[in-house]
Amino acid sequence: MSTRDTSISVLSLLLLGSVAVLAQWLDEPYFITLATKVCILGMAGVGLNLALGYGGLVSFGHAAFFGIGGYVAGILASHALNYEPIMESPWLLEGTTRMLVIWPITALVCGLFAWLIGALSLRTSGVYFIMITLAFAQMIYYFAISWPSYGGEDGLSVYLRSTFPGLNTMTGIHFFAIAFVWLMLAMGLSSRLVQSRFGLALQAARQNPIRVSAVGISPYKVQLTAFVISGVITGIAGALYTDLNRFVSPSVLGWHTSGEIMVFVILGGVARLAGPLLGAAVFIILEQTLGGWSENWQFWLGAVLIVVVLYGRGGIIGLLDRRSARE
Amino acid sequence: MSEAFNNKRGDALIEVRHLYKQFGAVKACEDVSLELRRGEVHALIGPNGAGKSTLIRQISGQLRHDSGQILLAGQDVSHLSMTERARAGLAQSFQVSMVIPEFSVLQNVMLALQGKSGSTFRFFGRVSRQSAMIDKARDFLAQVDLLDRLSSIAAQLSHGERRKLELCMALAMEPRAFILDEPMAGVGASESRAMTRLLASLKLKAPVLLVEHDMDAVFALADRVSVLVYGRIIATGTVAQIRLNPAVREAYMGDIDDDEDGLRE
Repeated sequence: MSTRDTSISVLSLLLLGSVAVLAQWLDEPYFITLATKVCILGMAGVGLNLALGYGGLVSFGHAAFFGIGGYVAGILASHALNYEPIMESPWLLEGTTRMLVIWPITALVCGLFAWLIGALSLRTSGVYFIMITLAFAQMIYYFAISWPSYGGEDGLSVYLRSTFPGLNTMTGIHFFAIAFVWLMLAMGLSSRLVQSRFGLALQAARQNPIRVSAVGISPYKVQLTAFVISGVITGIAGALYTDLNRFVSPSVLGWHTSGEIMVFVILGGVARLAGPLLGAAVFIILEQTLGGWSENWQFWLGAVLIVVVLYGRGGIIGLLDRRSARE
Repeated sequence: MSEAFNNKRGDALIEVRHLYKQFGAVKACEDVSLELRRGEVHALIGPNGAGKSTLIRQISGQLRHDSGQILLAGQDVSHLSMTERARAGLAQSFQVSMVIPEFSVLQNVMLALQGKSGSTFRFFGRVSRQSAMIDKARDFLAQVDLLDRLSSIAAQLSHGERRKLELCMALAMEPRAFILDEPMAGVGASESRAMTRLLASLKLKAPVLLVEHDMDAVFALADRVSVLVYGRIIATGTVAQIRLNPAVREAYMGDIDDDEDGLRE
C-alpha cells in the first residue's frame, strides 16, 4: 500500500467529517443523515474490499452479512423495546438496546456465517465462487421473507436507536460520530492487515495460489480468514444501518444489496483503501442528484460505472492517480 | 558404482514406491519407484510426454497419485496436501516460472521465509518493518546474485532472473529436499553456466531431484540419473551407466536432436 493511498484516505475522511459538521452548523439534518449513510455503506464496502480487492474473492453474497448484521441489531433491539425476552427456556435470554452488547454479538454471528459460507464457497473459484456466494445470500433472503416472527416481507421496525454511553444516538450528529469512528476503525484495520504478513499471503494467494501452497502456506486458510474478517466488518455496518433507518427488512439481504456494495468497491477503486468510501459517496451523490431529476437514475449510474470501469482503471482513485501522474 | 551410491535403507530422503497414475486411458505413471538419497543430485530425464512433470507433481502433492506411496525422510506423506508437504520440507521450482507477479523480488522471498517460519497468521506488524526477516531475505538473494534487483517487480524481471528468484524462494525455505522442474528451461546460453553453478551449490544444502532437458547440465550435475519413458522408469544409474545403456539409447532415438547429442557426447 502506498503513502498516496493513506493520504487519499485521510483526505476523504476529513472531507466527510467536515460535511457533517457543516451540515450541523447550518442546521441541515438531512445532510447529516446522508453523511452517516456514506459512512455505513462505505464501511460495508471496506469489508468487501478485503475479500474482493485484496483477496481476489469476488463475493456476490455480502448482502448476507450486511443483512444478518442488520437483523441481529433489529431483533435484539425490538425484543428489548417490546419487553419480550428472546426465549425463556432453557434459560432466559433478553434483548438489548446497548450497542456495546449488540456489536460483539453481531460480530460473532456474522463471523460464524462467514466462516460457514466461506468454508464451502472457497472450495470453488472464479465464476462458481460468485454463484455460490450469491446462492447462500439468496437462501438467507428467502428465509427472512418467510419467517413471520420478525415481520417477514414487511420488515421489522425499531422505534428507537440503540444506545451508546455518553451519547444521544437519536441526535443525528451523535450517531454520525459513531458511524464515522467505525468507518475509521474499519479502514485502519484493513490498512494494517494488508501490510502485515497475513496481508502479504492474502495478496499472494490472489495472484498465484499454487506458489503460496508451495512455500507451505495454505491459501484456503488465508482466504477463509480474510473472508470471515470481511464478513464481520460488513456485518457491523449492517447493524449500524438498522439503527440509522430504525428499520430492517429483507431487502438488505437481497442480491441488489450485494451488487450495490460491489459497485462501491469497483466505482471507488478495487484494492484501494479509500475506494469503497469514495464509491459509496459518489453512489449516494448520484442517487440524490439524479434521483431527483429522473426516476431511472440507475440508468445513469450504470453509464457512470461503465465509463469508470473502461477508462478509469482502478476506479475513481485510479482516475485521480493518473491525473496527478500526468501533472 | 562408488560406495556412496550403495543403497542403504533410511538413506533416502524421498522414496517413491510403486506409484501409479492414470488419466483416462493414458498411463502417466506406471509402477514408478525412485529414491532421492542424501547428498545427491538425482536427475530425471526422458523424452517429451514421458510423464516427468506428472511424476514431480505427484511428489510435491500438486497432483494426487492413484496408488503407491511417497515417503519423505521415512514418513509417509501420500495423504498430505501440497502445503503440508512443503511444511514438511519439500521445496520446489516449477517448469513455468511461478512467482508472485505484482510483488517485488524482496516480497517474494519474504513470502517464502514466512512460509518457512509459519508466521503467516500475524495480522499487525508491517512486513516492510520486519528487519530481521528482510536481512535474511537479502542473504538469500545475494546467494543467487539477485540482490541488485531487490525492489524490482517480479513481472518485470527477465526470464533468467525469474528462474533465479524461484530458486531463491526454494533456498529460503531451507528445505530437506529440492524438487526442480526444468530450472534451465529458456535460460540463455550466457546465463546457463551461472545457473549450473547455482544448481550445484544447492546440493550442498539438500539433495536435489532434477527434471531437466539440458543434457549438458544433467551430465555435469547429476550423481544418478533415472530415465522415464511412457510413465515407466526404464533405467536408473550413474551418468556413465546411463550413457551406455542400450535401452536408453533406443528410447531417445528419434527424439529431439538436443537430447541425442547430449547422450552421444
